[in-house]
Amino acid sequence: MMFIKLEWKQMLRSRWMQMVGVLFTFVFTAIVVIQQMALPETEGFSRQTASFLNLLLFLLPLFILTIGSMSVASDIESRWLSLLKTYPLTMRHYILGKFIATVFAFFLIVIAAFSVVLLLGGFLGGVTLPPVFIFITVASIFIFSALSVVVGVIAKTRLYALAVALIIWSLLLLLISYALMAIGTVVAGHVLQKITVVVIHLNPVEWLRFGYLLFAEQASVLGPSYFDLIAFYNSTLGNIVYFAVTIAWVIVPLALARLLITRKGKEA
Amino acid sequence: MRKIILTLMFWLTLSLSASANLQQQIDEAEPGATIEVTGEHSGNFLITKPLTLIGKDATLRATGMKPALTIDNTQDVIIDNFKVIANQRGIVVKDVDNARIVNIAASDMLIGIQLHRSKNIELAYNSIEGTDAHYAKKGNGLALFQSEDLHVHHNQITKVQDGIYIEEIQGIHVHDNTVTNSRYGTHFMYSDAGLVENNTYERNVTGLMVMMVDGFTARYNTSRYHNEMNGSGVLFYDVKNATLAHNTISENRLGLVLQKCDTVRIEDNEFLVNQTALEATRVDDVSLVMNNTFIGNILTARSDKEGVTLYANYYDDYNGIDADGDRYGDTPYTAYSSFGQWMVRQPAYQYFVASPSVELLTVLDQQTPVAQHMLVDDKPQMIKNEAHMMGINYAQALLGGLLLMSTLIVWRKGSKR
Amino acid sequence: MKKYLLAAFAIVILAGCGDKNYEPRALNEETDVCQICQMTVVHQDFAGQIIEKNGDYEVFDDIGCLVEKLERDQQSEKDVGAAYIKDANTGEWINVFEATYLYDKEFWTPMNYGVLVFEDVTEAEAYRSKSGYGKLMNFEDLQGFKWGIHQ
Repeated sequence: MMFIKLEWKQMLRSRWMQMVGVLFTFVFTAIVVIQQMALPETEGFSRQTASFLNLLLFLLPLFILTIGSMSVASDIESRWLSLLKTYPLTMRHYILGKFIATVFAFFLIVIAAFSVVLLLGGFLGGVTLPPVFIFITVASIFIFSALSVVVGVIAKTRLYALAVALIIWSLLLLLISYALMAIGTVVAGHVLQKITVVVIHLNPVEWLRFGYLLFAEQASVLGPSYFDLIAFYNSTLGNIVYFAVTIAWVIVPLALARLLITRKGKEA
Repeated sequence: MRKIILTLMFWLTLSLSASANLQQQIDEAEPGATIEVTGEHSGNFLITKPLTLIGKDATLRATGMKPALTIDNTQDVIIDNFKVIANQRGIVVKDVDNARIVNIAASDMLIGIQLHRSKNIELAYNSIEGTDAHYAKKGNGLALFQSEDLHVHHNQITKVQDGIYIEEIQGIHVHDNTVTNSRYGTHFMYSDAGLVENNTYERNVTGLMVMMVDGFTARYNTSRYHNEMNGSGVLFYDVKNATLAHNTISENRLGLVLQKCDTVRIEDNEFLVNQTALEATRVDDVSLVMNNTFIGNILTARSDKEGVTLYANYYDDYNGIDADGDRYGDTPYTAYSSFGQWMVRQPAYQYFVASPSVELLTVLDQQTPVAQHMLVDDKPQMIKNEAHMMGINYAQALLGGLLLMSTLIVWRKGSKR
Repeated sequence: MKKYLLAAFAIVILAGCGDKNYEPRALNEETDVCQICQMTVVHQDFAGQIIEKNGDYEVFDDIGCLVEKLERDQQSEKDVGAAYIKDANTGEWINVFEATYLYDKEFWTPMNYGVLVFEDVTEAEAYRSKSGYGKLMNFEDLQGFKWGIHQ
């Protein structure tokens, strides 16, 4: 508990984090307000919804992955971790502490951004934050915080962590999709469809995007090819599976991080 | 118990005699007479001569699977103000010249009004409501076959297969109708010289479906909220010499689909907030999409490799300028996007619609000139974009302000030593 | 981790390619639309499907649309995995290339092309003697057939 508080303080005090907070709030607010001002209000999936969602999927993973992983890597690099290991602090607590501190810090940033949007929206009109959107934001903070801890553990230095975080970010956001689209030009439609379904489960960005469309009842946007998948995830069992997979996306990386960090400890 | 049976029998004989009365009245009436009908009448009534039936709080209830009312092989018939209850078809009109069927309220049937081989028919102010079953198991609201000179207006139709189904009709004017929650709002097949005006189509699979038609005009219609997996606002298949003008097509999965079209003009329409505003496949190069307004669509246009001609439309995502002041942008607008073209060929690509990767790709597409010069508007229109202010929402602003304050406080507190 | 990813991909790709028997698939009235005319397939008794060599399915609402697709892509029997159409009597899937066709403009079909499909000549003859009209055809006769309403 003390450790979490310490971590949280450090995170909030870091210049990097403060900059990210201001940047995120500014970019998010600007784009949301501009989009909402320019477009008429709608109920279905529109460019506005898409840009809202994409903004979130672009920015949050980028910031969380870099900051979270660098925070862990700097502990390793500065030998702070070796020092910690002499305290009565298990590695499980260390990982959890890092994770929770990152989650809280980003909650704060996101709440700041959302409140500015609400504030401005209140004056300009027409800006709302749908509950599903908030749910997806929360889920993505959890998932990417967990992933960032793994990245930090794998990387030994801060610079290395930054590089790995960026690579993973671009893979998840862009490169996997492009690869898939390229594959689609050579394979049959039903093969592309099946690979896409697998990728939805293996890529947290796609998983969150899919979740948003699913729970906002806009999944028909994905087209008739995914009818069976959508029908399944719209059922009660499907909802349970969705939450289970989402939780797995948090727990598995954390467990992996713990495994790696203890192994690393033995090598040293 | 006996009392109930007696009442039941009494009611049964009463209704039977009432219905016998109505058919008898019809049979005994002079041609051209007017009959005023009140109360409920069960049976399968048949009219074979010129006649006017005016309902005053009247209901026609069909028995068995036959229609409640059949008008067969006659002329000059008026049916006005009836409630119609039927298992399959409400009213059937066959081989009739000059009839008006107005103010009919039909519900829970398969087909509201069915028309065959007739001429000069007016169907107006009717309200037709089907059941909640899947549209594949239902019939059409108004089913019109092989007829001439029809006037269909001010009908309210909901929850049927096709709201107004039009097959092999010569000359039909469809206006001011509303069709919702059905398969197709209005469905033209092999019917020439149709005019469709001022109708409203909402939440169907497709609002206006026009197939195998030569000569057709649709204007001032509104088609919106067609967001099912195969939904579209307006769909033309195998259409020649048609005009689509001044319509509002908003919030559909696909706004307008043109497939296998010759010489169609799409003018002065508004395409608002559709997922894809325009999809064109096998459209000839005489066809023209001109002077339309595209606002807030995720994708403006996609096509097969033949493309479609875009000219002088307004696009809200055009980022050129008008330096010479001729009210047209100085650089061409590119609607072409690699992703859009892939999506036409392979539906599984739809998954990526408006995904982060595709958004980036589309931005790149707009920067690079298209080799084939496809889906490019050389003269994009410039209009002043008026921002719309809505009322101030104090509660929301207050909530936002408070939240912001508390975050800042938490942050400061958290970072204090 | 990578091993599992690879394995998953391999399974998917194998699953995609392994299926080479071209069995007809049941229709889904929520999602299936005719590939040619875009109509939703509500009259399943007239529906058809083509299974491409690569395993992709395409659905058609009327034999006319199915033939148009073959013509558009210049495909013959050997270019597709299989092509099926519903038998007008039994409602079973039958092979398009071996079916017997009966045409009359009075026959209603979803596109009103007036062509009904039968398993064999006997069935088609039986239908013709019952309805009193109709012209017998085989798949070759459908090539260059003028689809649409002929008066």
